[in-house]
Amino acid sequence: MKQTQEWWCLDLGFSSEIGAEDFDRLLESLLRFTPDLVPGRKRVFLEMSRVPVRPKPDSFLKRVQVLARRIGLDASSWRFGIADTIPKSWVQTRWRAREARLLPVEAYFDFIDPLNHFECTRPERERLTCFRSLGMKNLEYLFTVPKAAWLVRFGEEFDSFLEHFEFGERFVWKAWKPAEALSEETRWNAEEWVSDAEGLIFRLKPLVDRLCSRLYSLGRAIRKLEIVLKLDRPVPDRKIELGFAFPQTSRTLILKLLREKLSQEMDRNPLTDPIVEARIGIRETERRSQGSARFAFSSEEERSEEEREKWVELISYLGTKYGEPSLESGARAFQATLTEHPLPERSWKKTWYAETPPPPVKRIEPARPVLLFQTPETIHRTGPWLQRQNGSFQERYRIRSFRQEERIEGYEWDVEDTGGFERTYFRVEVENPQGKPEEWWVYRDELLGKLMLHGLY
Amino acid sequence: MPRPELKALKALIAEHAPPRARKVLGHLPGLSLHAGEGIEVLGLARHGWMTGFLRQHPALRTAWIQGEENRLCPTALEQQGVGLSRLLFFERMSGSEAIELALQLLRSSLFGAIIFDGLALPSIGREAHMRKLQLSAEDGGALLFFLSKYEQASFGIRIRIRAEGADAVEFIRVKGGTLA
Repeated sequence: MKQTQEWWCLDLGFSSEIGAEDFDRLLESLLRFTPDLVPGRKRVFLEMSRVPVRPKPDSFLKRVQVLARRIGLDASSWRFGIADTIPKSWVQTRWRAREARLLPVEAYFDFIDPLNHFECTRPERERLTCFRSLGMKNLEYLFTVPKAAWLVRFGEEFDSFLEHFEFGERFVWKAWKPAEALSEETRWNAEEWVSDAEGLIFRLKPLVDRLCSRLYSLGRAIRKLEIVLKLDRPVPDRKIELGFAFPQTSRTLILKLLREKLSQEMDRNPLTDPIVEARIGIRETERRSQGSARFAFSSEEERSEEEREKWVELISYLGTKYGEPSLESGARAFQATLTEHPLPERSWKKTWYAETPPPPVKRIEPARPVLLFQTPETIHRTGPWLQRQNGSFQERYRIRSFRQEERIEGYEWDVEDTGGFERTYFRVEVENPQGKPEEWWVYRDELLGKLMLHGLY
Repeated sequence: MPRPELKALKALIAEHAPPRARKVLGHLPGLSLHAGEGIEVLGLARHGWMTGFLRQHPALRTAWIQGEENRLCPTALEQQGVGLSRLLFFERMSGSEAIELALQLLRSSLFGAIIFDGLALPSIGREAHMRKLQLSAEDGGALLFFLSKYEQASFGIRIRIRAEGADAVEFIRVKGGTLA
């Protein structure tokens, strides 16, 4: 079954011109309603038939007015209309007629070029005079004369009118696509000296607000951004990059992290000259997750929505501040998840999972020690003693019991990153030099023939 | 202020001020652990004891702040029944960083336990800091654990536990109460 289209035409009024940049901003803002936008001259068409939850017409106009105000446009005189084709939605918005055939004859030219027709040119005005002199007041009269007669007289022009009037759904349109690179910039006088991070944040806040608003419309979240500061001296621009552990949409959190990052930068390299220009560019974005995302603790217990948001925000903040987004070994804050790697030291990895818990891996038996050395220590056995290097001293531990726990092996073709290994693990009870008991996790490297201390229970 | 007057004032406060009801977050044998309490865990098996405590208190969301490179094995924690999704790990933290971080975590009221592991108490244990931590933990509904190798004098520690093995756990000091 053919789906009927629903076009909402937003008429931006005729009084003032809108700059190209502002118009693009407006289009970006309107993307929050539908991804199918067709811009025209002082009008925008929104295809709403595929939108699952459509706004009410009244609230739509009010929301558009708020969005326009943020961009700095006066939307008080804007209007909009709804029809099933682009040409009809435009003429009905412009002429406020419910029935297309009852539209004034001036609408003839609007049908021919619904995207751009604005004012009648001189030949068009002459034609209108001609129509009126023939007693035609509205479009209905055009159909009282045989079409063939009009086609002979006006040819292609009348043909396109008919096509748009009667078969508007065939109107060829191309959806507007937003610019891929997003950036915002601001300039100020060198006299307005900015010397600290706080002052700079004050200047950058409107830029962050605008970027967040734009990204919201695009359904994206920030992953990485770059701040470029231009100084009042011919020196290279200062560039500061900020990556987020989780894609960010919260402007409060972005500003908080930005403040910390800038404070660190300013402490490290204080400003020597006034900043005259600042630009924030979005380097990486990700699709914004919807509200249905699961919470890490949802399986354990129900958490309130507020707590969930708080948790995600905290995790995002900590992830960005202490843990590199790439989760390299440099991350000082992390959550852990288990892996299927056979080596005990690689049986888990650093990660972040604010919203979705990692999938479970198969259960490992027997019990591993709570403390595990990333780099095992070589130890030596001499009779009932185990010798361990403590700084420059050799310490002797008396063996109380020695029990084989498990055997782990991996072949080169199975574990390409570490190569083959063969380990026999023992749980060893020892008595330390102070006479206190300790429990060690020791393995014998069957390939090298060495005893290694790998963990402490 | 002369001493008798101070005593009278204290008596007056005790008479009129209602006792503060603090949230009970956990239990040790014969003792309830209230929000804001500081517990020092010593001994070679301190990490094992801590793991056991977390296993017994599955509702406590925990931040484990370590002074050195992480040596904890999350695989072992998971094996022993401590869900990894409720744990946040921090490593290579200095004393001041740890305090700043802990205060931030406590402000969020999302954590039930904050563990300071291998952070020398003298470096973080100035009284003002400890008092601030304690008050924040009380407000944020969390317990404070200090895991260290050696006993260290510090303000705010109510219970000291020495764990030398699974069966060798000793409660060595209690302020304001007795342990069974």
